[in-house]
Amino acid sequence: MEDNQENLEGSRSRLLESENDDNQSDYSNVSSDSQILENQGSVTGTIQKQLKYFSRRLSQLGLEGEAEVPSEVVRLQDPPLATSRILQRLPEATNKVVEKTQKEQLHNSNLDEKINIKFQPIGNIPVLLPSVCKISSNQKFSVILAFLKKRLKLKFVYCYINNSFAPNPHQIVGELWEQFKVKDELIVSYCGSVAFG
Amino acid sequence: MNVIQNLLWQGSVNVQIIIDSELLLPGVPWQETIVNLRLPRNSYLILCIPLILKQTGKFLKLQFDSNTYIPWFEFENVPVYWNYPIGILFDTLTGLDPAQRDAKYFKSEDMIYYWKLQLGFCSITDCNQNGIIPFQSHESNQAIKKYWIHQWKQACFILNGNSKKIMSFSNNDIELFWQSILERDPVKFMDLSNKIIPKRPHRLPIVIYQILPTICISNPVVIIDNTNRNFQTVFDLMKREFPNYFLNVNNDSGTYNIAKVISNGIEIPLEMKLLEFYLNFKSMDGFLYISLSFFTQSN
Repeated sequence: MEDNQENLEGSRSRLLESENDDNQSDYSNVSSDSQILENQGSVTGTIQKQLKYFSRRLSQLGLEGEAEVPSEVVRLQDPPLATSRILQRLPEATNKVVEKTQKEQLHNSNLDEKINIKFQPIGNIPVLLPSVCKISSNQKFSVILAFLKKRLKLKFVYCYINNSFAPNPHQIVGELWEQFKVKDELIVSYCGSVAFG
Repeated sequence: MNVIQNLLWQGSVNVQIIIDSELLLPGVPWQETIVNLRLPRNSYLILCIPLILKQTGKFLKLQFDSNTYIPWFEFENVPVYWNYPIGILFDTLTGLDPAQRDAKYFKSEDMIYYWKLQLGFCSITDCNQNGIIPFQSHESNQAIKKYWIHQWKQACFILNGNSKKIMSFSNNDIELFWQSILERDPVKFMDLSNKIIPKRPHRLPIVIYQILPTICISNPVVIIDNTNRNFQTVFDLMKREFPNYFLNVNNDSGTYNIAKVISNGIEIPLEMKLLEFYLNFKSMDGFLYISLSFFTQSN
């Protein structure tokens, strides 16, 4: 019994290590894990224990619920100096309205509303788990590209919205979501090479 | 192609490119590396990089086909993004006010106005920090072609609800479409773009490029209501996006708008129908680019 327990713990730690090392093997690990459990089943007994085990594993790996794409500070870029001098030539009343609008825009960008992104792999590329992530709606699409490259440990990632087009990296994710969402999710397909040229 | 479309297609901007002096070989005066160009508004800055490098490459410290450094343009220390049409970059970054243009820039017939840009090189890390999309200088034409076709796919998706129309183009069609921009052939361009744009689109691909008080680029959802008269004019869109700036279609009811709508260097009447605006003023990538200009004291 103790040997069996040790085997189980051993296989769990191996599983965790392998998942940390290589995300590509996510699916295969889960299936091999299931086989291990089938063998263990005769020892541990009930299906209930297996379910508990899976539940614990899911919580360990963060596969339950949704993850979050880390935000980047939104930097507001100043205009060229000569152009910004136009502001000095505006009537006082106009300047007040411009200032008020800027404050409103800043307030809106700080609201930090979250939207859902559903990641779909194309071809032979690691599966991102969980597949649905939350991201601040005021982030640029380039943040998603950087997030995928980091998570998948790849130098290049090609992303497409609705399996159709690669958006401008400057585009605001919230605006893409509003324009192209499907069931409240922005569907982003990703690939290690050009998929839709 | 109607008269407006034809005139817009011919619109151009005089540009003077100056190479960053730190990049020049010792002893080379920067004046010798100046490149003067007249560039179509409906084109990309990146397309002239091979020409600039051909003329100035011998004066540069580094190899321009280097994979390490990316060429980029700047205007008064502000990056000029290569992936937007030249016209909208010029209108916004210079804060163009068409009403002031003649008085400001064309004081006599012997004068020409040009936009002075600096060409520099940066590492990929610097590119990312400045928001510049990295590309290799020796494949600048391919980089912009790929970007342009995806812009059209996105525009097609907005106009039609999917990108099937452009995705069904053959490779030859795509090449002809791209060549129509490089060769400045408006007839060929309209023939192919008309295959993508439906007669009564439900949504319009629009980009609003704001420069003041800070740079802000937005792609609002613009749904045209074909069933009634609501939300059909330029004013309707502006009132929704900038309620503080646009109060009335006409400045004749005691309250005044503080901004005006500019596209392709022209002030757009607020009562213009959005669809008409899009069809006549759209750019070569299927999007309609709009900038705002404020009424100054002299206005």
